[in-house]
Amino acid sequence: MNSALEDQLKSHYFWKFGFSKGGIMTSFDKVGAQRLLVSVKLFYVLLTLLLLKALMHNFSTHIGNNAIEPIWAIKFVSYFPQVYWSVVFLIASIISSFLCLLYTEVKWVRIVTFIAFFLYTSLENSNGKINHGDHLVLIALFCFQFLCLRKESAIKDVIYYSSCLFLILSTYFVGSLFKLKAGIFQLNHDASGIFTLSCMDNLLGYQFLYEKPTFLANILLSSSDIYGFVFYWIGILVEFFVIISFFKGKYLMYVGCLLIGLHTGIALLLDVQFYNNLIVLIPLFVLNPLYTKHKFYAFLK
Amino acid sequence: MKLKITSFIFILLGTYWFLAFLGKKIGREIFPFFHWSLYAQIPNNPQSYHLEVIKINGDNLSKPMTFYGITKELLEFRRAEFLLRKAVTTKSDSDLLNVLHFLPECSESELFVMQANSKKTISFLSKYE
Repeated sequence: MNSALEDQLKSHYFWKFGFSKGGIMTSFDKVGAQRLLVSVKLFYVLLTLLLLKALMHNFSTHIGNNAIEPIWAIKFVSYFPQVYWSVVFLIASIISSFLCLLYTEVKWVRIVTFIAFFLYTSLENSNGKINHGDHLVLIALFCFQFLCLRKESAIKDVIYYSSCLFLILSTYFVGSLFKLKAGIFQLNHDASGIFTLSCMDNLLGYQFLYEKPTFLANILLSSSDIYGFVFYWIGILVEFFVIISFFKGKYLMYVGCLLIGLHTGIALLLDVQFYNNLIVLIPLFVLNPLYTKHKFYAFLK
Repeated sequence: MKLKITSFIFILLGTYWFLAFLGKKIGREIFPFFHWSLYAQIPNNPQSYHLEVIKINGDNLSKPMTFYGITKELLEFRRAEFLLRKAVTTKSDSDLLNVLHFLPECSESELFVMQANSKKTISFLSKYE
């Protein structure tokens, strides 16, 4: 069964690139279910911690969080008694995520975790504005539902796991494409966009309309435009090129570090929180189990 | 069965991109299909949006209550700002109701827009009771 699937993958127009030297598909027999299990388990550990932090630090916000503009997923809530649904979904997410740590191999626990977290984020995003902070977490939770995490299904798990990685990388890639598209549009309309030196100053001006700029933003605002311009373009280029690392396990590890750097830079500059992205980037990319020579897994062994 | 597994990535991507583009087309993001608009466009001459409660039960307040102050414990700042901006830009009743929902009963408020750098009011949009 596995060898037939392997043959099919080797001749597949997309997956065949994963069989090149150091490719993510060359190692599924060595990677096995065990390494994937470690990575997935670590993801759920970090998710549980993140949700506990959300419960501790923003409890009053959750209590007062009534859906002003309910999005499709939580419209059913209006047919039920008025309780603090945000807290209900958050606690359900914490419990199910914690159960995932204990019973990672059990598929339905992962499915319940995805549903609980999805409902929680749906309610959190039902106040008129959609926050994209949990986007990568939702992608990972969705894809992890399909994993079997058993030795005999290692090759299938590698496909599901790497599909998750590709979806995440494509999110960055398409994000950069839309930045370029918007830049070209603004250029054609004589507006100041990403191709003008003052792009970062304009962005920071908008970001800190109401609040005090961060330390790094102050430095950039008070120095030459060229530094801000370079920072902005480094960000766009990182987003644009990360996708080419997809088939190589080793490069995925470096890309994970690069993306963490990108998010750290954005957080320091624009004062936006980025923990949600870290819980995906660390276990899936930095500690990428598809890279057979990864020192982390050698150390665990 | 095998075909489904190798195509999993394309089914996933196709569905994601289709719904994301659909969200872009209709001008309303279909959660959770993010349509890549985060910091895509560089804002030119940004404006800030404000709402101040000036009267409660017909009595003038000595110091107006700001929308951001009222919603401080209930909403993230960016979300509160987004609600105001949406109410001003769409001018739809439902978006306005989303803002008024937070205000004290029997209050009178002013919704206005200010220019970013000068902090000078450029338009008084409405008074609401």
